[in-house]
Amino acid sequence: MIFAAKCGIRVFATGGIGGVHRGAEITMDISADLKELSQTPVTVVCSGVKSILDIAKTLEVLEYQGVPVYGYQTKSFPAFFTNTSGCQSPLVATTSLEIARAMICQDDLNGLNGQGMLVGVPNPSPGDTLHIEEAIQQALIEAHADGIHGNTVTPYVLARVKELTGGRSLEANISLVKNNAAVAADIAMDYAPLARAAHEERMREKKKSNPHFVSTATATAASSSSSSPSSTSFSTSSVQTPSPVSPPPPISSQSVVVFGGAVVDQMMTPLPSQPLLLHTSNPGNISWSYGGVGRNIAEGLAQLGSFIPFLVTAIGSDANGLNLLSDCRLKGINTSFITQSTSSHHTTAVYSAVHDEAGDLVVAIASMDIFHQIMNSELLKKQLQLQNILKSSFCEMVVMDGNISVDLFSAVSAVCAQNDLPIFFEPTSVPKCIVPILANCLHHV
Amino acid sequence: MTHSHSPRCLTSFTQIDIMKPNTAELCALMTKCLTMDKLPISNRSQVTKILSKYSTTSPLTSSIDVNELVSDMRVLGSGLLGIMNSKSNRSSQELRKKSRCVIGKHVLISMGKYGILWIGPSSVIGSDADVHITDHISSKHLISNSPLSQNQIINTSGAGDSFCAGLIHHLLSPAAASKDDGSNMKKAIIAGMTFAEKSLTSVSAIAK
Repeated sequence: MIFAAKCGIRVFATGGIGGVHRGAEITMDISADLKELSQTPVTVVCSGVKSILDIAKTLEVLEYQGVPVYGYQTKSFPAFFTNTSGCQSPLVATTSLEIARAMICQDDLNGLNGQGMLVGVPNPSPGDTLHIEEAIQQALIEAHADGIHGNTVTPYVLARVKELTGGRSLEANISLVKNNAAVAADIAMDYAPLARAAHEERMREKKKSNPHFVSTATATAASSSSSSPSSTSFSTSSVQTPSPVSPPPPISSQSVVVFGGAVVDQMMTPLPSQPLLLHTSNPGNISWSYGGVGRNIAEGLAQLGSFIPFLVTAIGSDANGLNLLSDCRLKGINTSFITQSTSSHHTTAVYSAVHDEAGDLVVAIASMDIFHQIMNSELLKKQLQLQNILKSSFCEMVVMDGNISVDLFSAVSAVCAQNDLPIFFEPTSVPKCIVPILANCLHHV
Repeated sequence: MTHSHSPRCLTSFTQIDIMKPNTAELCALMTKCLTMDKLPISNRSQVTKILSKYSTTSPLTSSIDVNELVSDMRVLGSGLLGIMNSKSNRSSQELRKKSRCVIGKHVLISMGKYGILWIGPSSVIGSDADVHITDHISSKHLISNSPLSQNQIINTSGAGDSFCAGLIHHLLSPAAASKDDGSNMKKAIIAGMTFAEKSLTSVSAIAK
């Protein structure tokens, strides 16, 4: 945590954290992790504390040290190998964006403490959980019998539990660490644009209150571009050194929110010089790529690099959806507002095209129902959610493509009107381009 | 049948500030507007005539001379802009205060190898205009100075989307946002065309 904070890393993933040991009222055996959480501004994503510890007392210590503790999509305080410990999480967060916002609030308050983010064990098997718990209890008894105490208890117990469970505890450990890392990555992705925006806002405020104030980024640029001391005038005291909490933003805080399609494009062609035969199987090549007008525009904006675009779209919980989501993240698109359906009936949009040997389109099927089934119903449940999307993303422009429904187009354009946000419309295709005309009939505005 | 001189307002439509149809989409949009009685009567016969010309074939695949194509698209595009401008509840000044990036409303017609036909406020296009369509609306045809040859083009997929990204990127850049003149939109269109060309010469839809 200390090194992460020194490097400006604000989110830290681990398996579990230390806590208050049982009998600590006599031994005073309390993990240094708790103290560090109270003085290091890092959000720690973990699966709680091991059940060998006194969880209730651990929560008490975290509370009096002012460390916010959130359960991620759960009220129950997880205990490393199990999702239920009998204790409740003091706070609950349902999205990574909520945690990112809480971090911004801490920054605003010059908070120097971290926060704990508790993630449950992914897909726990009740049999495995029970087996591991029994092994822990046995290992504890053996540790006591062998005279193990102090900071040697945990490594002793973990090694013994691994032996007693035939390695299952290690598998569970690896699985939960991977899951915690994924949640931590989501939080970091959501926090980055918000932090940049907050940093710029603070710079603007300081500049307003002190016209001679120059941020470090500006000062560095000025000093490197000109050797003349008269070219920049500012008082030394007003120039701040970069804080590990809020590094100078390399890119703008403003953003674009793109409402549109994200599609897996599948192109099929017969082998060269082989004519395409209908009504039978053809040897050939199949290539995959990610497309969709909205996704493409978001990727282009991310590629150009001046800010992080937000993509509002819908995907299924199938392999296509997971891969598409991961690809968006890799390409620098903010995926906070991508809706992932949990129903097996909703599949990620796919465009499958068969081309002949000359490369001309023979036939194509476009399966895009998910945009109308999921994206609209989820977003239209609450108009407020649209407001939140546009506000929390520091939106400067809204882009819509023709994949979104008439209802959603109408609702988004109404929110844009209320917030004086410009709209860019990409008609997408001849059948889809009339969405704005049809939206008129709904009289949302 | 009589047509009103102040047609019913397309409320959602008038929230759009920039629209980038290609020629086929523009024809489809205007056909729909025509059937929904949304056009000022002065344009109706001219628009109908042009649309009938392209009813059986896509404008870009037709054998029509490029100057005629541009002229036709200018009529359709200015009709579309007229609808976008009708009863807008935001003045361009208000919009500018908020967004700092878009002044007025614009139709950008992508015409493939024939470039972009930009139709927008005369105050923004200014002396660059090719044609002053009305007192307030002008057009400018922008085409690449060094167009790609057919064998340089690897992949056309995603070129239009790349154009949008390049344009928006430029419009929102701090340098563009700080300027008060209308030259930003022209520069943004050129930035869009440059990024689209990069996409055309790249294997992936969006150039790396």
